[in-house]
Amino acid sequence: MLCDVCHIKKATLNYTAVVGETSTTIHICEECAKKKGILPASGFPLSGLLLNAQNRNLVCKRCGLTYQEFADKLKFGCSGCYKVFGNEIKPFIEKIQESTIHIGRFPSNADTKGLRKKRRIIELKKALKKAIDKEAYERASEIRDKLVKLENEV
Amino acid sequence: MKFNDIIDNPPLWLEGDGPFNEIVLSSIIRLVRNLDGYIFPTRAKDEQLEIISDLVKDVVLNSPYFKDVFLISTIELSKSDIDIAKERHLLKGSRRIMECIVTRDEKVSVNLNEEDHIRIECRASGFDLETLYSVIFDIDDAISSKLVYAFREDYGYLTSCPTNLGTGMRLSCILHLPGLVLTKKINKLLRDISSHGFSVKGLYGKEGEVEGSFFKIKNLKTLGLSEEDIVRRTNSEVRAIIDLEKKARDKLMEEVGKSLEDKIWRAYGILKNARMLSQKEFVNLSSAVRLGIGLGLIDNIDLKTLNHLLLYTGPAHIQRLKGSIMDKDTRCIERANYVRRVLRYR
Repeated sequence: MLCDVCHIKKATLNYTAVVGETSTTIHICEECAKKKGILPASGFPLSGLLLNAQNRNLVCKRCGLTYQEFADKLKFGCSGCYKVFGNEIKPFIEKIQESTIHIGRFPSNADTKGLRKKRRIIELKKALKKAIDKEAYERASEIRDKLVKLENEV
Repeated sequence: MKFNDIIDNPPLWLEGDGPFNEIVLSSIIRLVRNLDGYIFPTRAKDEQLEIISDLVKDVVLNSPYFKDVFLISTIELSKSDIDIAKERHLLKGSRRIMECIVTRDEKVSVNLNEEDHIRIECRASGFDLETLYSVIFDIDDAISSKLVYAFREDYGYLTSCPTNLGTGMRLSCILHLPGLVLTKKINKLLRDISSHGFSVKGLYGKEGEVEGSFFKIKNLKTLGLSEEDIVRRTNSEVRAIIDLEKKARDKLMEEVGKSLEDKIWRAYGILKNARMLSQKEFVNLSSAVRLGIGLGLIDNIDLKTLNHLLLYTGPAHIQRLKGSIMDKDTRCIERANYVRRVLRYR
């Protein structure tokens, strides 16, 4: 398994951390562990893995939360934090949730036109595959037309 | 309705009925939501929390599910009443200003300004996640038709803690698994469940300890799965555990039936006669009696009575009986008195 930090070297250390109601395990190589100042006996300083020289000073203007504070407490201050810390937190969210794509319900009054279309595309692709498997080429062609139209819109 | 009206009556989700009630005490489903454009409670100022509270209350109190409700506010309750509300799972955390709108039967509640702006929770006796699922989304839809939730296409419902992202949905069941504990199959089961994306913890006892063979199982992942998927997976995981527990109970009866029966009746005897009972002792003894009911060995007490006792023998509830703060020994005496009083009329 590759190191979760450098993605180059082989991970030789595992750290399990409890985040809210769930726990997550990070695999890390010795060199990255050393760089981050992680010692096996000191448990799992997740903030060390989240922080680097560039992101340390990021601040959410709306609620005033710094990225350092997020890394320490693992709690966001407002929906704006997700935008400001967006690129930094994605691997972390993927680690604890094993996904970064919501496929559940959405609020009835939210602006989700794009989302509805994207989900429709996924459904149509499944239907297209099914139609081709069944050799229903006329149906497949209809679905493909719809797909092309939708994909252009998105 | 007053706070005492709530506390005097046991919650309906502890009735001891519902599917698989001999193993599943209760099922719980909860959603967390935040309002778009407002700072999350952990960083919001008091006046911002008040605005959020007014907005949500206005919608919730006009919804058909909340006709006969009580509003709990940490600002208005005494410390001991807050402890009672926490023992009944009506409040969570230690923030200074928190509120809870709860129905008289305590099956539905909406909490305001805890870690997130809104926490909707529905509870049922026994194993019944599907009914709860339809109720909770009726309430969620009612709120979202009037207020705009913080939501993003990629991360779904935005929450204060990243472990709640996506659906914001957590399902849990409180399970009584003495068969698996006594046949020593529980540790392997716990490992297996964890690898399936669920967490299981002892309901009573300190960190890492389990008292009375009570466990709480819940889903861990909230993002990348649809709500239906989460319900389906949780249902099948809990069903599998129920089957294993049933087999373990059958095995126990086959192999050590008489000594098990003896232990169960001795536990009942102690509960009926003890003069001092710690909470830990009560939980363990009542667990044995509960197993006796499940196995059909004991019928002069029912699950409903045991469930109510579990709640009303909690430290905050016992303290309320006397209306004063007690030391641990006095609580043990009061607890034993209370249990004897309840069991005498059975």
